Amino acid sequence: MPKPRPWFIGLLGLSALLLLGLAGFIGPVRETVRAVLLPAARLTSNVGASIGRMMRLDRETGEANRRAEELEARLRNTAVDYVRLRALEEENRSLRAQANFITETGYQTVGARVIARAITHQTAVVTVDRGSKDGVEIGQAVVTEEGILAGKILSIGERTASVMLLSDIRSRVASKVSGADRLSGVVEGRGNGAAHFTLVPQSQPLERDNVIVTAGTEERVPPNLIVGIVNDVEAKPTDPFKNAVIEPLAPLERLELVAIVIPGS
Amino acid sequence: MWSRRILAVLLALAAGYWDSTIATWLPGGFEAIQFSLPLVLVLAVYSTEERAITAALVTGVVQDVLLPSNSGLVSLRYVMIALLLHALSQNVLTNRSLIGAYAMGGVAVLLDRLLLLGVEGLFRFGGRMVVEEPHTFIFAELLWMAIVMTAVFMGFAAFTRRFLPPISRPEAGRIPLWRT
Repeated sequence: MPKPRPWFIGLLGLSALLLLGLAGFIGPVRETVRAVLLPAARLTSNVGASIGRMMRLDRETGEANRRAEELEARLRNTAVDYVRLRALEEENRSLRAQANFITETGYQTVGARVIARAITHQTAVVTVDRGSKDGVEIGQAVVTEEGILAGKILSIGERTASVMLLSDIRSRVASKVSGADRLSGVVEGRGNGAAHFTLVPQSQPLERDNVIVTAGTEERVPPNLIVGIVNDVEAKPTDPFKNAVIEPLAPLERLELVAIVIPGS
Repeated sequence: MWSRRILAVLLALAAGYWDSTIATWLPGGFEAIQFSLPLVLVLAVYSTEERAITAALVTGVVQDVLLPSNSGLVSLRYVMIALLLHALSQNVLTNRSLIGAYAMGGVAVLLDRLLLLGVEGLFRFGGRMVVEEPHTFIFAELLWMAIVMTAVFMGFAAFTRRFLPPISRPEAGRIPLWRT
C-alpha cells in the first residue's frame, strides 16, 4: 500500500484541528500546550524586553533618555500623590460616613509579566502570565507598579490573559477629572499610544494638565486610578459635549511588569 | 533521518518563541527580524515536504498559543505556505539559483500577508472581535527575507554539494565512489 503523501497528512491534521475547535475540544488542548510553553516564554520575553530596551538607547543621547525617564517617573509619582490628596479631601467633605454609605471594598493585586505583545497602529493588546487560576476575570483593571491604569483584561485562559491597553481603539474606560465627584466622560483609545477623553459635558470644567482618573462606575475597575493628563481641550460652544486629548501616564510601549486589580469578596 | 526531524522541530520551537516573545519587543522595522517564515521557506524549498509541514505546525502552534492575537491562525497559514512553496519549488521556480531563492522569499511573504488578510477578514465577517497580529512594513519583511535567503544559499553553496552539477550514469561508473 503506497504511503500517504505528507501534504495529505497535513491537510487531514488541519481538518481534524478545525473540527475539534468547532466542537469545543481544542480549549483544553490549547491550555495544556500553553502550560508547557509558558515557563520558557517568561524567560524569552525577559530577553526580548532587554534587547528592546538596549536598541531604544542611542549612545549619543543616552543621558538625555535617562533624564527624560527620570522626569517621567517623577511626574507619575507626583500625579499619584496629587490624586491621593484630592481623594482624601473629597472623602473628608463627603456625607457618606454619616449615612453609612461607605462600602468597604477590599482590593488586592496580582503581579504579572507581559510575555507577548500585539501592538499595531490601531490595536494594543498584550498577553500576561496570569489567568483564571489566579482569580483573573474579564474587565478587571491592569495597572503599572505605580498604580497607574494601563488597560483592562480582554480575555482569559487558565494561565494567561489578554490585556487591552488604553491606546487600543476599542478601549473604553469610564473616567472623571480628579477631584470631581461623579462620572465626567469616557477615555477612548486612538491608537499609536494616544487616547481621548470624550463625552464630557460642557458644564464640566476641563483644562490642560488636569489629571484624569477612573470614575469607579465599572464593576471591576476601582475608582481614582490615574489614567492620564489632559494635553489639549477641544470644545465647540454648539456641541453638547467636549473632548480632550490626553496623554496616558502608563508607559504603554515599554510595559514589562504589571499588576491585576482583583476586587475583594 | 530522525536527527534531522528532531532538529527541524527544535528550530521551529526556537523560531516560534523568538517571533512571539522577542521580536514583538524590537522597535520599528526591526520587528521584521523573524525566523518562523524563513525556516518554513527553507525547509519547503530545500528539504522535504514532511519536515516543512512539521516545522510549520510546531512554530505555528507556539505563536497561536502565546500571541494575544486571535485571528491569525498561524499554524494554518504556515502549513498552507509550506505546501504551496514546496509545489512551486518542484514545478515552477528553480531552487538552485539565488534569484530563484529571492523569488521564493517574496512569494512566501506575499502569501503570508494575503492569507493573514483573508483569515482576519473571515473573522470580521463572522462578527468576532479581532485582535490583529502584529506585523511591520512589508518592505522590511522582504528585505529580511532576502538577507536570510542570501545567507542560506551561500551557506549551501559553500558547505554542501547541493548545487554542484549532477553526475551522469556513464560518468558515475568511471569515477570512484570516494570521489563522488
